[in-house]
Amino acid sequence: MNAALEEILEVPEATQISRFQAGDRDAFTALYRTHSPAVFRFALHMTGDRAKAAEITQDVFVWLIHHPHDYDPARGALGPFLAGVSRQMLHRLQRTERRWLSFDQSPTPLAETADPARALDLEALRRAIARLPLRYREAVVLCDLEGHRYEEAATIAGCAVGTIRSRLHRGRELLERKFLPKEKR
Amino acid sequence: MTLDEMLAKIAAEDAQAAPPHSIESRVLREFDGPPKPVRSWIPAWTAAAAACVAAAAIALRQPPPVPAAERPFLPVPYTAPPATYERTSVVRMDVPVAALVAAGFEVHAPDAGGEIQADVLFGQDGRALAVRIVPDSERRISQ
Repeated sequence: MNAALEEILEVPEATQISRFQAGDRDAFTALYRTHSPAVFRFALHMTGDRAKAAEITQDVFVWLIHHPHDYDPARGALGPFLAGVSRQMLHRLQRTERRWLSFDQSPTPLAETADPARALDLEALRRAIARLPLRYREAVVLCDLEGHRYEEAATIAGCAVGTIRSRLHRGRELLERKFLPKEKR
Repeated sequence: MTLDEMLAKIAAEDAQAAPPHSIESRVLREFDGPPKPVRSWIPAWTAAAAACVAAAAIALRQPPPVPAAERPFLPVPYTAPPATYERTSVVRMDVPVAALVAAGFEVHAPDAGGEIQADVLFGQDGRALAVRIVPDSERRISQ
């Protein structure tokens, strides 16, 4: 790691952002190292696929490089802003994939694949989350897996706090119906 | 194991997940930009003269510019702007003041439960991307 990068990793994020917006490569690297894990995790939970999550992470930061001034620190922290951009990238990816899926590959609705006798393994739960309808998946990922508060999740998803709560409730209900035998619910 | 426990376990397992290192180098290559173009053999003044002639020709053929709208669109916070290829549409509608506040706008209206007329820019996926308040509507609200 070069000395300039080491130095900028120590400065407050607001300084890193203003230096990045002025074209500083090391400041951008510092921001990437701070925020890329969260972007990657969000994409991973949403897609259930590491390759796609890596692709989305790359797209988000390439977008940031080309739109440095679209982020306004006065409107909130960079983390939720990048989560919002990731969300847009995910929507685009999903639209593109939907356009090209064959019948054999098209995702089966959750209710049709439900199998209460299925083993309660985490990988199956990951896959089930990735198959939830988008609005419920977002709520489950943001609140249950990413640990965002309802207000933060609502800001990222662009909806009201009450809507996030009801989507989370519905998403969890769908997962419970799929995974937990009746006596455990 | 309950659903809560399973979700907590996934969250804990993935807490250290990070993108592969190759992504950082790809992104930084993008930051560095494309290699500088090789100097053209065409003299700079020739290119500048051609550009001037082309600009003059376009200016003479274009109709006079339409006056821009009085107010710009304000982007909805935390939404990425549409891609250049994306189809967008503008719809004039009555928007609840509460919805604007919930979306992150600072609205100074006497009646927070009322509605305000605005032009809303929608993206291809049907999401609102930006809002422009109609001036007459503001007068109506302030009355």
